[in-house]
Amino acid sequence: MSAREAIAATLSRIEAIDPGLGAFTALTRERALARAGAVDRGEVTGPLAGTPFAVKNLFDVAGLPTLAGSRINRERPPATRDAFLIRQLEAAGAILVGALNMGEYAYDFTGENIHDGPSRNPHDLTRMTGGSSGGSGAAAGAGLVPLTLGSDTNGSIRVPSAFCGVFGLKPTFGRLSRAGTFPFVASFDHLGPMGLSVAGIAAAYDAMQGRDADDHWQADRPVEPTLPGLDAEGDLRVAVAGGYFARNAAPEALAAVRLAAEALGATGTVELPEAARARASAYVISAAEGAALHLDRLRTRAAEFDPATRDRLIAGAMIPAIWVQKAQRFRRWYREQVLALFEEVDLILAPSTPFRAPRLGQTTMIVDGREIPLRPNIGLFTQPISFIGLPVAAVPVRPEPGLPLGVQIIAAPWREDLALRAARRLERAGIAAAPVAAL
Amino acid sequence: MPDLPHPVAPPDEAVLRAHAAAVLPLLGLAAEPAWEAPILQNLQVIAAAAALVLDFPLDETVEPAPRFEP
Repeated sequence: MSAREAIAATLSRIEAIDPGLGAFTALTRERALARAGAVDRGEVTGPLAGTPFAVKNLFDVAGLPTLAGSRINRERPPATRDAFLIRQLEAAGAILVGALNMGEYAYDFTGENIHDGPSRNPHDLTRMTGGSSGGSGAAAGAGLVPLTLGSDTNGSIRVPSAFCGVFGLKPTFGRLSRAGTFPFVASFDHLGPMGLSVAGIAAAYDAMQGRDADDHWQADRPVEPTLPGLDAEGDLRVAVAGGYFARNAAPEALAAVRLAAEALGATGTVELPEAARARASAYVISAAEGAALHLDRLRTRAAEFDPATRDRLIAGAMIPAIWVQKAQRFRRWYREQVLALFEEVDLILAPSTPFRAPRLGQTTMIVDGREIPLRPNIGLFTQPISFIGLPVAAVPVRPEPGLPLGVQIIAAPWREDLALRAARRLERAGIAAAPVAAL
Repeated sequence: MPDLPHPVAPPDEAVLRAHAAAVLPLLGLAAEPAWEAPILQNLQVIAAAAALVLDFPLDETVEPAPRFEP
């Protein structure tokens, strides 16, 4: 099959299945077919040649307004240039086929969207994808494309990876350029790949590395490919996060971690000190920075926001500076404590979410016999990790038949290679897998 | 001097309501009546999170995490 035929088939499948799934908000049909033609003619080569991918609609896509899940942004002029990461993937031969649904302005853990409708979980269409990269999880989980891009400020790659049963990578803060994407919280925003295999997300991650002069927050790191060492042998020192990460979770979420731990030969537990305060700090900083970003829109067009986003942002606008400053100072302290753990271990395992995908519209959850509010607790285990920018490979695990769960494989800064290597071992052992949903 | 390790209780609802009434106009924000309760609810959640952070003693040598490099 030629690349053009394959891309045409991909587009047809999306058109047939997506109306019931809600993953896509735009298709880039013409450019995708043109690009596929270039692959067929040998004008475009590379490790990802012909691989279709789609991006959360906060990425700039030339010719489309950058929605970021909002109604207000529909009035923006079309982007004149693709985001850096899209350019990198296409330089490696991948083919962009569309833009994906997301929670409004990325301030979301559910994948619900009042403007575009919810993205639906491909394994059970009545359930949430998780968010805010909900369309990215749905499109990959349904096998509409093998590779998607998402963003992760407090868990927005890792949560939908868990709920939709796909692999995800949240790289180290500052690793990948954020230029050409709509921001949320400058202190925590990350971008990364999601997909059906570890090799697939590793190849995409490798292709997206590289310095971008347009991103002033990007770290000055060399390109450090992960694919060549993905199947490397050798011991990995693995521990399970205890304490905070072993409480307030459904038994099956902890069972998923145990399965991964046994397969990786984990030797004990470590405690990330004051993880609850880390999450609280991330919560305060996110609300304040998000509110500052959107203040003008809140002043003039508040009624056009999703109410759930608007009410949190307006509350965030009223946060005293003192609270944010203390949270940022705590961040420094917490970072030093957690980095010290990596002197003894290479990787730390923790659940991605406390439970499986809830039903769409659900607002509370029973965990440990207690009813807890749903939205704020979905990110319970992801926020303390992105708070200090650690790289995480999120792997889908099913400890029993049913909807998937996720395990975070957390590494020291800049050691995405180790997190992906462990993810690959779990994939080879059959512990982690992303079977395409039957739709 | 370092922050003192004293418990910080989140402000009660009346304090947060008064804070919102004062700060919203300062920011040029106007909340429709139907939004007031959920905004206050969100402010309470944030304040509870902030109390947890404010409650933690840190030495004054601990600098904020963000860093600007010209």
